Amino acid sequence: MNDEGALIAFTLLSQMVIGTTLVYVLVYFLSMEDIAQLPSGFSLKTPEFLLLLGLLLAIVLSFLHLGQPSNAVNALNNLKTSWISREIFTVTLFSVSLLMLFVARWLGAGKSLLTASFVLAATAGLLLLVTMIRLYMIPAVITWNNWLTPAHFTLATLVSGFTLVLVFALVYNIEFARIKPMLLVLIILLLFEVAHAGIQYGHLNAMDLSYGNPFISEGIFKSLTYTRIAVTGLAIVFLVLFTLHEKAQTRGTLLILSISFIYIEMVVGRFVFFATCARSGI
Amino acid sequence: MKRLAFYFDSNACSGCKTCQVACKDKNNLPVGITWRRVYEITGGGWKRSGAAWISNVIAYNISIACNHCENPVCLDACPAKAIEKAENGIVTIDREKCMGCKYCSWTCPYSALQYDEKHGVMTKCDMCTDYVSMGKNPVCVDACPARALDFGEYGALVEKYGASAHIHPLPDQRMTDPSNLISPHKDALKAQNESAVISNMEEIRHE
Repeated sequence: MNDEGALIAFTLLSQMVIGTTLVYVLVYFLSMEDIAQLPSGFSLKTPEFLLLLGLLLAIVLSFLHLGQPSNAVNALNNLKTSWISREIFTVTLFSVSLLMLFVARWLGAGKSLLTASFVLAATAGLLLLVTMIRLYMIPAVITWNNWLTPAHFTLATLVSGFTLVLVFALVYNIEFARIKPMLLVLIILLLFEVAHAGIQYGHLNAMDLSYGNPFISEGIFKSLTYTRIAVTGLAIVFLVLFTLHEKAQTRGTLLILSISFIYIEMVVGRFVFFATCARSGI
Repeated sequence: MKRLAFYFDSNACSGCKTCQVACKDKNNLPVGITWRRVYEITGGGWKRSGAAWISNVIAYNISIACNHCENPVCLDACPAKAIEKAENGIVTIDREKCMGCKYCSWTCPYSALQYDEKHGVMTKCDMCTDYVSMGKNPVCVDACPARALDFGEYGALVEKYGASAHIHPLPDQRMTDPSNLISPHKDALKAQNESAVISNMEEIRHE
């Protein structure tokens, strides 16, 4: 895996875990009785156990882009000014908070402790998202140092979160009527994704890049933007059909198709983000 | 605290790249790593004016290494604190601490930090610290046949050559406050207005 591949995997996977955690916390506050029915402990059906595994995998992947992984012990040396140090700190905090949530549910903690664990996990997740956004808003990288970066990362986090929680809801046989609002939110977020792809294309093309970026100027950017928009459009269509159909089997197929398209869009979108890196200066 | 600095006169530079070669030779740099690089800026053309053709050709060079900035953004960005600024103003990398995340190379608008694939760490110009400690100039400065480069204390260089000016396409100096004074080529202002380009990017690009 090359540098970009490792970074794409790390950022996407960790944002997927953040997004899922945020939606999971939202569900907890909206319907606590549903959460109480979910499995806990060391099971692949336990939400926080899966989230922990996902985050662990993301952390392992992040090591792949280091030239000297043995020196990663120095990564927290510069919390005062380095956004990478801060990101590593917040990813550790987030892991610990998920572990606390896992233990709290596993041991059947009381309502106040459980609520505190959920709030801590959501806060740590949000902090991680903020550090990831700030890390990429580099003054020298003019194509990233604008509002499109926070918009892209936040949308990716929320879309992946709602998508994964939707999958969980189906796995746990949650009633369709209860997940319908979540579907509507997901469709709205996907519409924002389409808008983001279009605006990003227009904005970066209008920029004066001192020595250019072949990815932006040679048409690949255009093709991939169209691909993103088309794939997101298909995901929206399949999600709408999913809400309209009543046959369980057809619904299953529609959902698999829409989720597949959502993940394809996310990977393409993140690849586009890294490929559009262009610095001011020389 | 001292502030050692480079001086570069773009009007005197012929683009021979002796500075670049001397640096590679002295520091035994592998293919792909060029701590000092010469950018060739070209643009413009010929314009018809009545029956005559007037030359509007833009052509000049910029020799640049690490600027050992007063506000080194690479130092702030490095998570491992592997980048340090010495008492004399020279910015160096401690290879023993560097984890090779390459984040510093994203933040530097001068492409001063370059990745050593073989050792998995970042590298950069150290202003020939060993030579400087012996009272000598950095190798690139003494190698320049056109005397386009100079080296010394920032204040003394300002006194000798005047304040530094912006040269296209280098970034705004306020970004990092570079310790590199530049006398811009006479075509530099024209280059900015007419979007002159770096014509040897393939030669000096390093990723």
